[in-house]
Amino acid sequence: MADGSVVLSVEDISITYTTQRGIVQAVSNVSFDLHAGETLALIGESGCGKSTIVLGLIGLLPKTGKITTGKVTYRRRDGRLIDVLGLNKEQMRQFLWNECSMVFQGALNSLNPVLKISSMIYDTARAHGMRADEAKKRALSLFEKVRLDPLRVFNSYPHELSGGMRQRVLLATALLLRPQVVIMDEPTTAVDILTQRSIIKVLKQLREELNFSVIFISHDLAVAAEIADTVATMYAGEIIEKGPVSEVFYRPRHAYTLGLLEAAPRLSTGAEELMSIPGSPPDLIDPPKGCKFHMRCRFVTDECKTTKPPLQASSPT
Amino acid sequence: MKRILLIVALFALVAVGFAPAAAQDAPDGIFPGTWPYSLPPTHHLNLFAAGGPHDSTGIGNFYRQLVVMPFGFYRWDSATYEGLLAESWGFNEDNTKYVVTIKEGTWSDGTPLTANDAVVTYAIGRILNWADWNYLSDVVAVDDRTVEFIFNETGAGYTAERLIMKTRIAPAATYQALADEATALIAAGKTSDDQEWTDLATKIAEFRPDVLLASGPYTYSLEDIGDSYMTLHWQPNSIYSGSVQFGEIRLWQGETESTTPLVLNGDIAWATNVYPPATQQAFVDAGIRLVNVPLGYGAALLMQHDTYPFNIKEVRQAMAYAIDRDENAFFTNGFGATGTEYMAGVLDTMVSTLLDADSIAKLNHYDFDVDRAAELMETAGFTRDADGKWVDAEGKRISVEYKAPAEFADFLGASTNAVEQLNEFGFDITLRAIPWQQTAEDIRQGNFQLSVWSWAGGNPLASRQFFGPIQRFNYVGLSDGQKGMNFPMEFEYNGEMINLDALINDVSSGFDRDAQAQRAGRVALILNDLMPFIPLNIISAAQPFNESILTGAPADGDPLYAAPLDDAWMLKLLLEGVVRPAGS
Amino acid sequence: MRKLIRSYTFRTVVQGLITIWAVMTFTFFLIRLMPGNPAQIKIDEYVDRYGMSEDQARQQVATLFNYDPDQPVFEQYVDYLSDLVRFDLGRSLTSTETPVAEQILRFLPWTLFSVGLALLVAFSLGVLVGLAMAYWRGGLLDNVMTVFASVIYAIPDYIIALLLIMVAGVQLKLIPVGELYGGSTQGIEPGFTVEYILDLLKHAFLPVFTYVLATIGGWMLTMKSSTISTLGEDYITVARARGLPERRLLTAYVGRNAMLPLMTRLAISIGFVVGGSAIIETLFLYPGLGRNLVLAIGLRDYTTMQGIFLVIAISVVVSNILADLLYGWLDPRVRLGGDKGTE
Repeated sequence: MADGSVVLSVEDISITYTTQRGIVQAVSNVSFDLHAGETLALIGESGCGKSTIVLGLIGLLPKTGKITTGKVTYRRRDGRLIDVLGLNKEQMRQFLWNECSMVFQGALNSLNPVLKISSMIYDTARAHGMRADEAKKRALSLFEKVRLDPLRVFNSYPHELSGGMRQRVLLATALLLRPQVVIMDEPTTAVDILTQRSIIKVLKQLREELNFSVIFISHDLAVAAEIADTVATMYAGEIIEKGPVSEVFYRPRHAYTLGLLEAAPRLSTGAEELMSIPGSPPDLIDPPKGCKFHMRCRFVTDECKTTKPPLQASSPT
Repeated sequence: MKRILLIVALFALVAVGFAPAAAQDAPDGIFPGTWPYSLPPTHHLNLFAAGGPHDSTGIGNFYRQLVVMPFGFYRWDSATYEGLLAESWGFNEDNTKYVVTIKEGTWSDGTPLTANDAVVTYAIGRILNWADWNYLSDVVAVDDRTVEFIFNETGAGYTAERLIMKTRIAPAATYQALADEATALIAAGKTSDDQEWTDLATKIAEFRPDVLLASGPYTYSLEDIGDSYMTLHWQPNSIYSGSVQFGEIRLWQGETESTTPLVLNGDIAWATNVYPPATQQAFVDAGIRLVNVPLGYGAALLMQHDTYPFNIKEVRQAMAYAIDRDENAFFTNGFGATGTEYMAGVLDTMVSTLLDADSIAKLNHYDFDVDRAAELMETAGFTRDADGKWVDAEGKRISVEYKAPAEFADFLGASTNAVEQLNEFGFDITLRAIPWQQTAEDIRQGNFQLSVWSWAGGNPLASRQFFGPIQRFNYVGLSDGQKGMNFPMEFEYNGEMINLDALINDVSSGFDRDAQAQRAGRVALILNDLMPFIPLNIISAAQPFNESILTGAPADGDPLYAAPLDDAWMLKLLLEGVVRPAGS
Repeated sequence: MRKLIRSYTFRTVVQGLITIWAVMTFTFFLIRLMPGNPAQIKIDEYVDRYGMSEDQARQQVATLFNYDPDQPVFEQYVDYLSDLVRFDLGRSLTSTETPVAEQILRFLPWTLFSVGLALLVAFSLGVLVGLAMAYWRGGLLDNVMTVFASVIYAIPDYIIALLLIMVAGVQLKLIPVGELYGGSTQGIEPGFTVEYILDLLKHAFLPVFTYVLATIGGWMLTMKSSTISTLGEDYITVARARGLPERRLLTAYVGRNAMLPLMTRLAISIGFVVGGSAIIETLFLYPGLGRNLVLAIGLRDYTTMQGIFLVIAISVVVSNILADLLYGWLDPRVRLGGDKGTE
């Protein structure tokens, strides 16, 4: 981790799942760096391994999942480096939320229905040694920042809040302990377009005020384009293209990224012009040789079937 | 067993420790028996209301006689009475009165036993429409200890005698006031149709005495009724206080299931429940002696006589031949049942006492004989089909339903086996087990084809022995509209019109024992020939008697064992001190 | 809002009363449709056991019993209702003139104590173990307990009781069966003394142990499956990601949510605490209401049966209302009378 601005460095990480059919190579040799204040968008179809990576990062893989290779290094504010994968259970528990928090997809089910929002805040604070009154103060100010009525929300039960409100509560909670990294897993998929807009707006503003890095997982290119600095496209467990948002979106180099762009609806196009990518992702128990996309690629050559194209890496500027 | 002895010893110590001042010391032993008594408040001390000591839900028809005694104890083997409270008893010269002289003795509170106690008892019994009053016109105290029972025109006879001798005499000290009211009502000419009569009956039923005065050697209070056992305490003032050998009678609560482990453990030494054959075997294996005592009844196969072909005499006789009654008895109650031998309508043990010798000799024993049964079927016009089933001239099989009470293991066992044997023989019977109350109801209504219920009964008089089921479950003994077996009771027999109902009612009347035996013999022969029902077996209680705790039960086959519970061998032997703690 | 609560309460009470009346009426007529009636049962007994003739027995029963089999059923029903509105449960038919209420007061506490204690133990233990089984799914505890729970869940309570008596009591002589029978030792002074309470517990041991064994398997298995489905919920993953300690996760997040589906079952169980178990109480000679009910049914003691059925109906209705309230307390989504919803 040469660059001093890198807060999280992921090197050559591979994750497998053991299933009854065999071992699924869910993530293969993925590497990326996350810089301070940077927003990295991981995009791809469902099942491409993007969620698996972050679950691996925070040690919440299901029992069948296993990290086979790789190294994850985290730089604390005081400059100390942490080997994230080497943390024991208690260290990982402390690491979570203090240093790296997460906003999950499915805001509707992410809150315990039988507890008030306040209990959830207090539980989180207590787990990390934050005093209750401080936690309340911080939570109220964060609620205000995400444009919620602070006191009322604080004393509400989840079912008393709308989907957008809940998502904002989750966002605020993620920032409760001032983490450097916030992972957001499809934070906008379950809400309507207007709520989506307001959440993006709030997120952008918060990022400016509080200066944290974001790993933004999405299959929605438009949202990613709006918020990300860097975009990494994932396909079949690999990062196949990575670069600054402007490069990747306007000059995609990988046929899959192009396909994704063409499949995404835009305000300027009618539905009839949408193109979907034919075929479906490959079986990861027995992955194809060469470029894993070659069976679905319209630019396929013989070479693609034997060798992987190099990763089109370009550092964010 | 050591543990039991230890407990016995401990209790004895405690008893001695708490009662040092008693004038006469209580005997040491504890008699561990069992009865499914009810708990207070259902259990109370009123001798004249359901739920009291005299009710079966109280302490039952055996133990209650140790507390409140009747005049006498009936010997079923010799048809004679032995006095309990009575010193002398008998009909007067012209058989218009029954005269009883009471022994000199006291109640548990020290007040003397008097003739007035009997007068009080019968005064209250009159308000309650006791059956005794069907035979009596008055009960009079002649002197302190002599009471006369004056018969009405038709009343004199052995039926009335048994009622008088077995009625438990209540203490005047407790019931005098109620008896006075009763006497006043009678004197005012009121009858049971009057409201005052009903009101007094209710008042009698509502009465809840605090103390149970005992004429027997034991008594108890409501505090003595525990959840798991109740205690009858020895009291010093009875005629029998000096002879009994137990200071306490401990009655464990419970029926067959809950008492089984207690018998096996030695907590209960003598039990009067009916235990299934497997349990009886377990008792034997545990070294516990079984004493066979008749319950006074047996299982009878009942036929509905409107149902073809049970209206044919030969078919009924064939059925009697076709069932191996010894096998059937075993399936009824293991060691505690015997196949009927004489098929006479009275208990086998009573045959020699109740019937005349000529008739006994003529009785057909229907010994198991399938060939004879087949002959009878052929006489009745039946032939066997390819499957070996009997079919009549029209080719119809004997396809009928047999209703049996599901809860009564003995009756159900008898039924299951009888159906098996009859089907083997060539009938086509379907057994259906239904709730016992429903079975009884269906039998009364005549809503059955074959079924099972008791025959004979716990009364030693021949007319009462014949009563069930030929009168009890037949139109003659039922309410209007109920058909029951619907066996015709008036018919031509040997060229003579007879009324079987009247014959049975007349069997035990009068005082001439020989004439009674001849009349009974005649009825027995008619039943024996016509087989309106098949008396399958005689059920007895295989009473566990644990000889490591108790001693004094006579050897098997002793004539004392002939009587059912009301005149049980144990009553006599307990009072006489013959049954005593083992090793004493 | 006050009005809402008031009207809700009002509705609940009225609904409860109607239910109780319906059950009461139904049982009233149903028990009279059973074959045999108290007088006939007693007559049968007199005839079978004492050799009385049918009409003699009939005559005596007519006066001993305050029951007239020929009175029209509807008339009996009106009498019963008019007594009931005066809170008079009537008199027993088979223990003449003994008030039914007195019997219920005598036997009910024992059933409440034994079955209630057993329910408490079985529920709390079953829920805890079920939770642990699901949480450490596939572990030793889970494997052992799943087999154990499935096996005992399949055994009826009376078989457990008989095994206890015959194997542990009679053959192995581990349990002094006779000493443990009944509700308390005869002669011991009731009161708030250590001695008396220990004695109560000692005598309650056999029935309570049997009830617990017979029911705990069901609680364990239900709780396990409910917990497994709760563990799959997003909010558990989220809470874990927030770094909450395991204990907090297990109680407030997993446990509390997993218990919600069990509440209905618990409510039903509480309602039937009153009825007790007739077979168990009979086997262990425990002086409870269930045993009394069976005796009453056997003797066709209509008034006593009615009284006990009424008490059971009331307790089921009341416990269902309580369960609603409890459910609301545990799950704010169904909280009653609240109108804090915002959108």
